[in-house]
Amino acid sequence: MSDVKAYMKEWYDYLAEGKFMGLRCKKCGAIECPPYAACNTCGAHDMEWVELSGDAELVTFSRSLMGNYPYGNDDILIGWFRLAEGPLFSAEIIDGPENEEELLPKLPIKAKVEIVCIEEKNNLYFPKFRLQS
Amino acid sequence: MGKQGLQRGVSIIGAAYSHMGVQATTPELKDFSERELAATAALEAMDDAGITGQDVDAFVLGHCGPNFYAKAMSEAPFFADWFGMHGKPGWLHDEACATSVFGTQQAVAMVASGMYECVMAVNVGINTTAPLASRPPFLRAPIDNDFFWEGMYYTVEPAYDKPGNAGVGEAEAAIMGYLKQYGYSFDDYDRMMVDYLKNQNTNVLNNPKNHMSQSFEEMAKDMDCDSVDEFLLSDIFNPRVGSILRSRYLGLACDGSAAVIVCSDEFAKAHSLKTPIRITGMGAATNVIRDWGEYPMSAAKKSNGEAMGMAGITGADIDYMAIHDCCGAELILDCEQVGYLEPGQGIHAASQGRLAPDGDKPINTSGGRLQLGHPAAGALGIEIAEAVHQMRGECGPRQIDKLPKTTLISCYGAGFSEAALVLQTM
Repeated sequence: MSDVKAYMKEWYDYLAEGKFMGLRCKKCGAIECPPYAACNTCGAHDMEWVELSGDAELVTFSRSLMGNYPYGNDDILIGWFRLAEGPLFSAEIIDGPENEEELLPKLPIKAKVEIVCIEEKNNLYFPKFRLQS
Repeated sequence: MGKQGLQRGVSIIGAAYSHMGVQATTPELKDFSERELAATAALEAMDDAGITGQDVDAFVLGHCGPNFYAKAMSEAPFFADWFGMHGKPGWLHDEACATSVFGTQQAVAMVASGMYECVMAVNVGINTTAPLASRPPFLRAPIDNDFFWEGMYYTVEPAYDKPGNAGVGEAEAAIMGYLKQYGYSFDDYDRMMVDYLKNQNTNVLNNPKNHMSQSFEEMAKDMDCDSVDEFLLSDIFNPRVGSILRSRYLGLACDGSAAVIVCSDEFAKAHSLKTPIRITGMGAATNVIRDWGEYPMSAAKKSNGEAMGMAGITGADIDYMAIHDCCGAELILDCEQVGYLEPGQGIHAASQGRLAPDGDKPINTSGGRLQLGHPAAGALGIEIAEAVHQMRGECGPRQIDKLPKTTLISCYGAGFSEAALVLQTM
C-alpha cells in the first residue's frame, strides 16, 4: 500500500495555521521544504512533519517588475533563501530595499520567515521573509 | 549516465532551420500552420542529408505547450505526412527552450540502441498567433502579450515556486551569484549585454534566415539616439524587466522551426552527401526555480559534465560553443563552468571581441536568441544546425575563421531542464 499522502495540501493547511513545516526523512534526517513524497538526499520515502525554525539566509535575489502572477501586479523583490535546516527556498522579501543592488556585497543576509495570506478566496497562505539587517 | 555510453556511433547528416519571423506577416511564413513550418525545416534537413522521408525511420516532434498555444494534443501523427513519412512513428515532447537538444538526444538514443537507423528531431513553434479551436490551423488569431505570458507562467511550478517571474527571476538569481563572487556591479552586467547584443546584431545581419534587417546604428539613429549605447541603455528603448535584465536581453520572440537528422555510421556511409558530424557526448538534468539560488548551479554542471565526460573532452578542446543566450546567464555561468571562458572573465569576453566569428571564443554565430530570435521549441535546434554548418565550413560571411572540430551545445529550458551535446568531426 502506498505511503504517499496529500503532502502539498497538508503543508498549505499548516501554513494557514501559521506553521512553517518541513518533511523530515526518517532514514537520513534530511529535511524537504517544500515537501515531497520522497527524500532527495537518500531516496527513502518514509517522511514525517517537523516544524522549522523559520531562520534563513538570503543568498541571491531578483526584482519582478511583472508582478506576482496570479496573486498581484505590484513589483516584488524575490529572494532565494538557504533555510537553517538546509533546503533552498524562493519567496518574496518583505520591505526590501528600493535599490536592491545594495544587497549584493552584503550577501548572505540573515532573514526570518513570516507567513502571510496570499489569496483569501482559496485560503492560501505562503511564507515570505523579512531581512534581519 | 549509463556506464557503457552510446552502443554505436551516431552522426548528424542533415540539419536546417527555417526563416525566422512572424507568421502573419513574414513572407516566408505567411499563412503557414505549424505543419508547413515544421516541414520547412524537416525537408531542408533531408535535402541537406541527401535523403527523403522514405529513408527516415521515425521522428521526434518538439513543440512547446501545444495544448495551450496551438489547441492541439497528441499531434505527432498530424505531421508525419507533411514530412513524406506516412505511417512512421512520431514522439511528441516539450522541454521549453531546451526542447531541440532533448529531441536530438532522444533521436540519438534510438539510433545508438539499434532500434532505428535514421531518426529526425524536428521542432516547431508559432508563438505570435494561435489557431482557432478545431478549425484548419491556417485560420489563426493574434496572441496578445497577456496570453503569451500566461503560458510562460505555466512553466513555473505553481505548487511551491511562487512568486516566480518566468524567464527573468531565475536567470537574475544565478547572475547575482556571479556578480557577488567576482565583485562586479549591475553596470558591468549591462556593459556585457550591450556588447553581446552588438556582436549578435553583426552575426544576424550576415544570416539570410533572419527577419531583422536593421543594424543597431540604424535603429539608434531612427530613435534620435546619439549612439548605440544610448539606445541599448535607454529605459525607453530597452526598459528594465527585473533588477538587471532589460527587454532586449530576454530574447526576440518569433516563429520558426529547426530539424536535425541523425543516423548510424552504416546509414551515413550509404546516404550522406556531406561530412557526418558525430555526436560524442550527451548530458541532461532538471532543476526548479529555487535551485537557481545555488552558485555554481549543480544541474548545469551535471548536464555539461556528463556530455563532456562521455566525449572525453575538456574546455580546452572546445572550438565553438552554442548556448541558450537569453538573459546572458549561460555566457558567464556555463561558458566559464565548462572551461571555455576563464573564471571571472566571461563578463568581458563580448567587449573584447572574443565571441565573434573572428574571435578566439566564438558563440552563437547564428545571431542567437537575442537577434535571430526565439521560436521556443526550435531555439537550440537552430544552434545545432548552425554548429553543423560551421563545422562543415558552410556559413559564409559568419564562418568561424578556424574551422571548429569540437562543439559544445549547452542549454536550459523553462521548467527547468538542462541539456548538453558534444559534436565532433571525426
